[in-house]
Amino acid sequence: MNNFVRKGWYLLLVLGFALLAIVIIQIILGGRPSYSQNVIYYIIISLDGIITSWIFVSMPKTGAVGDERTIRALEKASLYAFLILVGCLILLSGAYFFDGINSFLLAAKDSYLTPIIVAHIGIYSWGILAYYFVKKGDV
Amino acid sequence: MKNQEIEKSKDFWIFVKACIGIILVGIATILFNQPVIGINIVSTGTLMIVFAALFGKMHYFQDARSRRIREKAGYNAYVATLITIFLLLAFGNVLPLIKNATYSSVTAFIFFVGLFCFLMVSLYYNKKGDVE
Repeated sequence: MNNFVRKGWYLLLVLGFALLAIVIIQIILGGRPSYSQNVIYYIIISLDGIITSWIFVSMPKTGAVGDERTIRALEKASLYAFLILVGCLILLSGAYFFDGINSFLLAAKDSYLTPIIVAHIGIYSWGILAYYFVKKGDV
Repeated sequence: MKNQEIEKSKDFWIFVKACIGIILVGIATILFNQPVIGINIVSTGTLMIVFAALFGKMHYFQDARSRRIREKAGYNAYVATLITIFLLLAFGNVLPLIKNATYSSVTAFIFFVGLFCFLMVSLYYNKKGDVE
């Protein structure tokens, strides 16, 4: 990877940690009332920045190897991530049927954070599965 | 593969038993005073039989090629689902049809987009032949 680009990812990593630290300090000290409503957004954004930049910083200098095996592993991982995503969507759309069994689903059904969390579940499950399949070797 | 070979194979009969089991569970659910869920389960079993009749050879036998087709289709459907979610996140408040809709009423739509895309892309790769 280019040295200049790598420095950019380091900068993003530091910024992510700084944002997380600021959020934690604000939570401990109380913070402004308007700030506390959006605090979960800041936590999600800072964790996203930290994880993404950590992945790019720890990548080898030659970049990711895109041979046949890696492509196969990525596609296999995305199949399972798709199934996980579809499972989440089925649970959410069928939340009325599960009333009484799991009230958490009903609470999550119309929450403003639900689409963001579902998208994060899809993306991170894809990343974890791709990491697993690439490390496992035989696909 | 010929139809006689399909009928002789073990996978075919496991599939038939699974379909009949799903339909029986649906009927039992209707009898236990849950008609909506029961009708849904019965229609799922019926749809499985219809799809198996339409794309039979593709779905019964999992050789290397059909596995590869499924992975490629899963990749495309995954990307399509995520793009749909992000588009709705970005422009959901602006679009006139879904401006006042809650997320729960849109989830079923996203789910069907993903499944439809998966089905169509797998059909396309199956017809195309060469998957590498």
